[in-house]
Amino acid sequence: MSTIEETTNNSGTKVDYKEFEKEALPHMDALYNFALKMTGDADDAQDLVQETFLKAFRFFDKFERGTNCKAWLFRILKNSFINDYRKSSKEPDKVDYDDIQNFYENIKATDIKTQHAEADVFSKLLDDDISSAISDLPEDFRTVIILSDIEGFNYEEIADFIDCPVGTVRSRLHRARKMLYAKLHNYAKQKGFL
Amino acid sequence: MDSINENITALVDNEINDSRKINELNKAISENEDLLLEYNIQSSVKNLLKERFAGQKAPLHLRESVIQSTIKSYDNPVAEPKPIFDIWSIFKSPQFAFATLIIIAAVFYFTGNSNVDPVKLFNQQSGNFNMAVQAERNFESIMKGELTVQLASNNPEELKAFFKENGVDYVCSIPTFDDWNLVGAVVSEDKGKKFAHHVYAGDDGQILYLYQVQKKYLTSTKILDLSNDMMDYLSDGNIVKVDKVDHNTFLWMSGENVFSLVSNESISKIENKFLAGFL
Repeated sequence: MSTIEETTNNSGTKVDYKEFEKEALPHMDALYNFALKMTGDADDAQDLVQETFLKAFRFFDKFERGTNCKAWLFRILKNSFINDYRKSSKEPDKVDYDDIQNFYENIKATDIKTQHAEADVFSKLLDDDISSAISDLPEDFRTVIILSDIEGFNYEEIADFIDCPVGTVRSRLHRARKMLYAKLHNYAKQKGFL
Repeated sequence: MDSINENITALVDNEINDSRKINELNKAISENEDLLLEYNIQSSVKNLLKERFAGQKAPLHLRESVIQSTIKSYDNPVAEPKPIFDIWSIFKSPQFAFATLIIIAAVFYFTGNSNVDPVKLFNQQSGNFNMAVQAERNFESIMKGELTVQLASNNPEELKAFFKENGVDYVCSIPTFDDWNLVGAVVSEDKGKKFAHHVYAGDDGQILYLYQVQKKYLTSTKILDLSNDMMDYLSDGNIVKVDKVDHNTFLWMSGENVFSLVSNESISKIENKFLAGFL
């Protein structure tokens, strides 16, 4: 593997494999993490990442050197997800944001003084509970919260990724966190942590 | 109100550059309980997700698989679809159906659990809280000099006392060996629980890093992970041995603990001396 330095990809273009390895492969963890949270299934996430790298390699000559390779790979992954995975999976039920807002109004009075305690309560939740709450978010909201809070993208990068204005990113992120908070609050209650 | 709430989101995300606006928002938050709640919700969710999921590793085998598949893709520029072996087609031929069924049943019956591939099991381990993944990462950090012992001592009793004093609430095994000296210990913390690690060193630069965790933290409480298949395999008394280019990894279960050893020592020496003296 390490002896391969230059070869021809599927489009017949000479590709420096070492360069591909150096530029693209370090982003595998981030891509896998994103794929896992989007598909909610480890096998699907692995297939999606594998497919993303295959496509990236095929079209590596199209990648503009010096630009953000991570963002480029994420765009490829998003397209694969939309084309091949989203169709076959059931879209989570739409969340009525007004319900979230009502819930939020109800907890206001009691929760303001207990925020630190609440953070401790959430820390008792298992990763699976949190992952499940994320999976239940509508896709548009799930995408922004994963990209921002797990992958560390800034608003401009997310806007570029979802092809929306920065204001939309901020608004969705704001709502996504509130929805997730409400879900986690319910989980914690069900488990007797609250 | 929505506008100011969304600005609080932007504040939490460090997306506001105007210092005057930042000061105004901070002032508003400190004076208004609704805005304080808004700030707390936004920041607590952000911090929780970052803490739990950021930097999570892909499964160990995925990288290799991606490299292999990209290499194959240019070895065979026009990829031919692989013929798929359809097991059910065997039964379409009546003369073979019954005999084949008998043979397959016999194979399943006699092979039982022996088909489990421990290396494959190992490669399926993933996630920040996976014990096998953590052990590999810790060994890598030790070798790079990024992780050093918190207690330097070659006395096993001192190590045991150190574990206990620092919140490890299970009994640890710390055998000693002629070929390797105890170097010291580290206590790590995951989800509020403390876990024990210790290190041996040989005369020629060999490092043996041992991570031990009480079973309940991998099963009932699930503070740490190992896949169910892996736990079943270890529970049956099996040892997982993975031979890598620059190190070897072993996983096994003994008494109440699960152990993961990562080392650059030779496999044969680990098997013959370390494991033999340990199990």
